[in-house]
Amino acid sequence: MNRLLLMTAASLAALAPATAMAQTALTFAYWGDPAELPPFEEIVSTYEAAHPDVDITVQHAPWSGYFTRLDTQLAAGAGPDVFFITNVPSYAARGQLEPLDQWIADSGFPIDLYNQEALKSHSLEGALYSIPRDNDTNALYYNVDAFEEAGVAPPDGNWDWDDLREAANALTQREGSRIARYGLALEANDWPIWVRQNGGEVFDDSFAPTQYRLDQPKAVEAIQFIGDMINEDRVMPSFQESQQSGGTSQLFLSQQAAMVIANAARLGTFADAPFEWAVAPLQTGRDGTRVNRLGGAGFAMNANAQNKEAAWQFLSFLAGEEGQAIFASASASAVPAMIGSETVREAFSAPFADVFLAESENGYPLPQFANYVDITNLYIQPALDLVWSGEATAEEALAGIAGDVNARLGQ
Amino acid sequence: MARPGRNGAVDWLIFAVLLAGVIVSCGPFAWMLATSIKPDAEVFRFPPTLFTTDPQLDNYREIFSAIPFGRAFVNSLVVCIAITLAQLLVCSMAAYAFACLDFRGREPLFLIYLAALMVPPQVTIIPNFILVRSLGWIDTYQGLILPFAFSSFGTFLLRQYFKTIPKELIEAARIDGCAHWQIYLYIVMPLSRAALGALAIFAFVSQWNNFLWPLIVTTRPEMQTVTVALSTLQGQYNTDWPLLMTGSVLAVAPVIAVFILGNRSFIAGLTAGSFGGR
Repeated sequence: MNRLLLMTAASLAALAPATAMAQTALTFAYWGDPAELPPFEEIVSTYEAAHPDVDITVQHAPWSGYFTRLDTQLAAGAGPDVFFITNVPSYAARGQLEPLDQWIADSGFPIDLYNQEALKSHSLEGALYSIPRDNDTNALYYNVDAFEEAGVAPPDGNWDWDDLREAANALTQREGSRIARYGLALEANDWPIWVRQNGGEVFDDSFAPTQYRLDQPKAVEAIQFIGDMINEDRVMPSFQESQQSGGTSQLFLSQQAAMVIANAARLGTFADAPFEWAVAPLQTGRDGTRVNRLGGAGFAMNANAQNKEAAWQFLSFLAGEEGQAIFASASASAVPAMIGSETVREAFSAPFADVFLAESENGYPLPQFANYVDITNLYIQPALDLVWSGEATAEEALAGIAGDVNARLGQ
Repeated sequence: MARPGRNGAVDWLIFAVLLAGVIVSCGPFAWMLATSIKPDAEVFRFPPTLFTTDPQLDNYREIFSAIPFGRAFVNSLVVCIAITLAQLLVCSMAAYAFACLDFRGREPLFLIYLAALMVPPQVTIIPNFILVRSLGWIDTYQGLILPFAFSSFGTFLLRQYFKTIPKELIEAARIDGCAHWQIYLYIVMPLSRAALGALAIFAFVSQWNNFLWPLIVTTRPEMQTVTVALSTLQGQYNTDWPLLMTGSVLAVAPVIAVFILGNRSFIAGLTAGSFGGR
């Protein structure tokens, strides 16, 4: 009797591929600026060509609308099968993502080729929920023409904070009380790197924090340093001003900022700039500490995916060596996450790739845990805004929220 | 004899204040129009220029190839006209019931209906999405249109207006043998053109600007409305501002047209009856 059942099961299993030929439908969602889209499209068409039985519907949305739609779809128990995502622990904590460890173990996916530290920001409580696409490594983009004109020596790769500040000062062009060109522009979310470069921390642990540490002297000093560049030296626009002027890319392209610290995607954005520019390693801390960002966006599977087997097949291609190589060789680039793969490293041939690859070794995983987004929005960002606007010193502002943040961490 | 309170200086002062208001409210439109034909490098230039010396009229061609703008425009028109007509019909019929029919529980029912006005639309997005999705209406016109086919605001607006119609007219019609549908169609509706016009403008303009719902229920570019299509021009790292402004100029054109056409009834509707200044 048992044998009969087994045989029936076996013959059914044998039939399965034939029925699967009928068409497996998958939905794949991602965001991206127009320049970033070709690798996504190439991956989908390559995969469909190799798997004629799979039909992939893509849902593309720009960054600004992507998460509004995705959050609604996921909250409704619907949504794409495979999607590009960030802030992974928040989604994982809501049970919206499929844990990937078992799939990885069963299929022998080469997860060891990834930077293990980077994987932590895609995990929650030890389980992996997404496979990173890139490392979001930053570098210092600088306007070579502006350096020559101001008579400033270009960055030699060993600049520390004070060298950067000095250069920013020399590059800043003042017209009366107005700044015609800032020396430097930063992204608003880059401050944790500076804290780390100074030997400080945001929390005692980036992934399972129990203590808020941003009120400690080293961290305070770093935040104050950024605040001073904005308000004392006035060599950097406030983040609000930067945003109103179209963002750091726009400031750099319109030559209203001579240096900008940003990720590899700008290699594409700046490709047609009407001046000569180059890329240098990030500044180091005052004691020479090298720290860069670690942890970019990744690919996850919907916990409610209809056909998880097919979704995993596609996800493992997308996040695997071939997919990574396609992303790495794209012009609007990102430092590939599968850094242990020779094929992927070689495919990453963007200009200044060596600078980005070397910098990616210094990655520090940014805080990433389930209620990090809430804590940031409620406490940390408002406190930082007071520093950026010069209304409070870093010491006052960051100490003021310690009780509230620690209370939230304890929850 | 001069009318009291009329005096040249005061008039000029009022003109000056009004002119300042005109400049403040037209400024952004002028800026949008000016930016739409600027070269990229000039957008954030300081000091800012209003009139560029190097107009890029090509943007008005490029917008149709950069994004499916023509299709999105048609989608928006279809959706907004359908919603406007649906709201005019549904709201006026509901308002007729609330204003002209006597039935038990009318006032409590109306209060509950009004309470729906207090619920912010963001709260109902997910249940609405679940409903529309289970009906299989993602990426369809009915998915874009039907959730907005009624409006408690519109019902409220029309009910207040219908209440100002003299009861005698309705009673006279009743005595002449009119059924309710005839009173509605031949008495109440023709007398309420101002309020209906105001509601039509409200409905059209608010749907034309609606972004959240079309963003969520459309996943294919062919079904996107103008607002969603334009948002695709806004990048994470860089935005083509002149092109975005070109799209915006074209996108506000129908709203301005509707407003000019309906201007008279809009103002009349706003100030009509017991509805006061709201």
